[in-house]
Amino acid sequence: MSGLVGEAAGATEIVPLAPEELPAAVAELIRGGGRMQMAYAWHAAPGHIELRYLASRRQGKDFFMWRCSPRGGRVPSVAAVSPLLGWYEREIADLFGIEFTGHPEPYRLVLHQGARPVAPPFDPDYPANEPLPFTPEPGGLPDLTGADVQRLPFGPVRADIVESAEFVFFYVGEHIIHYHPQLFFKHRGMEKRFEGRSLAHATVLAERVSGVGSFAHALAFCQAVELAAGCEVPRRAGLLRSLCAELERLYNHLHYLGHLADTTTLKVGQAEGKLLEERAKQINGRLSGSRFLRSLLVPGGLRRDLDPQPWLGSELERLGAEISVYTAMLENTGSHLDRLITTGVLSYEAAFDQGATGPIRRASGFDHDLRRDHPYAGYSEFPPTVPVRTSGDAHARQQVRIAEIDASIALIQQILRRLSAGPVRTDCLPPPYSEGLGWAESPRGSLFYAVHLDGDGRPARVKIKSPSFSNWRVFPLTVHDSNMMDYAINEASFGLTIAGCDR
Amino acid sequence: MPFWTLFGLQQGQATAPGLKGAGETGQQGLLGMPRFLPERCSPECDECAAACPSAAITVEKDRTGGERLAVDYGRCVVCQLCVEACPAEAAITSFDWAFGVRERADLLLTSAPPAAAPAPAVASRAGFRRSLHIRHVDAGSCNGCESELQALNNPFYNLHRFGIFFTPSPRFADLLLVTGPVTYAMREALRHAYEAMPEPRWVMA
Ligand code: SF4
Repeated sequence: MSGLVGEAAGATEIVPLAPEELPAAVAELIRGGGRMQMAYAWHAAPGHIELRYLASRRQGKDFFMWRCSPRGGRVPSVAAVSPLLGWYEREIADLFGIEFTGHPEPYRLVLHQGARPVAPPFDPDYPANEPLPFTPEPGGLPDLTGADVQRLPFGPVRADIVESAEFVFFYVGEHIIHYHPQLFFKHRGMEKRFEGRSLAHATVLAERVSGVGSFAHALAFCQAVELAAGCEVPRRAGLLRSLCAELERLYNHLHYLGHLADTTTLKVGQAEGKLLEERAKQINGRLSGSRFLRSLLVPGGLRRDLDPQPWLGSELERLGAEISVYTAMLENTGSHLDRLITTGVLSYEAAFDQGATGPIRRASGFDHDLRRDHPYAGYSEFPPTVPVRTSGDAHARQQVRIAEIDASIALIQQILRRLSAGPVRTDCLPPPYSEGLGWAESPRGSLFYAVHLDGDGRPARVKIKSPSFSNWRVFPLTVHDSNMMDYAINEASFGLTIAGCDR
Repeated sequence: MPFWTLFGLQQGQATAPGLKGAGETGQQGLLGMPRFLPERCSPECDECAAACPSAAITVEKDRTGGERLAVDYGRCVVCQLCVEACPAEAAITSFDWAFGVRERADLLLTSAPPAAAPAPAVASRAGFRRSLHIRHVDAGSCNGCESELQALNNPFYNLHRFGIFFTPSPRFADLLLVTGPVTYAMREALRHAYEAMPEPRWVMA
């Protein structure tokens, strides 16, 4: 094999596998208690596309990757064995032109029907700056007709200040028979934008993949590069990274509660949630200069030191007390809870098979959190408590988030007590043609960055596995066979973003 | 739920002071767009331009051979990399979190003499004298804009008090507010929203 493919991506073990061995290997992994995480493709050498399958053999065990080269542009689909891989395969088919034989859903995913790229968009000579030829065409919808069946397309431009996506409902009366979210209207080709940028620019780019996950995205990117470089981030930088990551969780979860209260028509509850979110964002601004905690991270640590002591602790104590009153009221409001309990139930099995992540999977009884199970930044020194609920409904999802708010504040306070002076940055120079995998438990769940560097130590391929990509795949399962009245509440209880999914 | 009503009343007023009020704006510590002091630039230096990820800065030779710094604030993403890169403190951090101009050209900072003032694109603002209704369309944003636009309606900013409203329908809208770079899949939907708006109409993007 050429020197382009290292046998280990930093600390991530890489195991070669022949295409025909894939389905059996995946099945055996799952039988043995392992779980697939994602799959992606990259150009390992000119004209040579290689597939990567990220997995863990058992909960808490190190991640490893299979690498596999398609034969004649084809590879057997493993979506029937591990359903969560279905979307990854379709994405690779759209963007790399690889065929997954025997795929149960052989449709486009990322590229819309009617988009006619002149070559697979990840081809090295694809004209990235030319507009993509496109004439919208219907497609991708099941053939669902019947005397009483109505079809309601909603979007991509919807009411209120929301992200763009189109939701199609097939329904009879109040009852939803089938729900199809048409996503990827916002596909910006972000992964390709990383190619050839300097590491500093690439970090700024990562901060803009999903605005409300700016810190987690940049963190996962930096950690991937640091792994490739074998560089150790100073303790103070690691602790401050965890601190900021928890602040990101805090404002996101407060936003979530305000939005959820809005859908159950709890107007004061909405206003209070949004006000608390605002206060949290202002704390971010005061600490970091950015309400989204941007412009801080760089491979090797932080771009500048932060000064959270002593004010942040007392500020959070005040905010935390108000949050406790607020969340206790939410948990005591019958009209709010009535709309959440038994709404949008996601079973443990579906959460596992389809790849649910973050608070969604923890609300379905799946005890997993990258911060605790695969610690990074300051989390090995300060592991978080991980709340889990088992009922899998909208109420469980609210409860998990409320408990995570408390856990985040507690964690930040612990870090503040143990934070000592020290450097916050070290050199980070990944060797040519190295690669690394970075991850973070973002507010919405597991986020992965797989980064392959070129001969100048700049990104040649960046794969972003965002939590909303995973949870959008799962969400429709809780909508089919439910009713229209619950839809908005159920959607809010998932707390999805579209930018992160579409990229 | 009576206790929510009581709670809401107890909370008192959460709203920040008006535009003219001094007081707490809530934006303490926010880093704004960089400020440039070209007179501090050393010759032959283009560190800031090289550091900028969005090509907002250009350093060009003018006809006399001198360096000319030009900054397009319309491209700036406020990343502060130029400030860190500048060896001469010619690019400095500002705390100007509020930044607004009426013309695109006013976002250009250049040491060249200003061109003749262009004719104003909008002849009159009479169309929204009393209130402004905004139709927002996300044409491929990172969701950061939506997060902050939603925040405008929170009790702290309470945009309604200025007579500014977000409307669900383009038919009632005076202003089309576009976020994101306009992806191929959003182009048509965006055009439809614009065409559905009554005249006079404005676009902010
Ligand atoms: S702040 Fe960043 S984007 Fe703005 S001019 Fe400086 S380097 Fe460019």
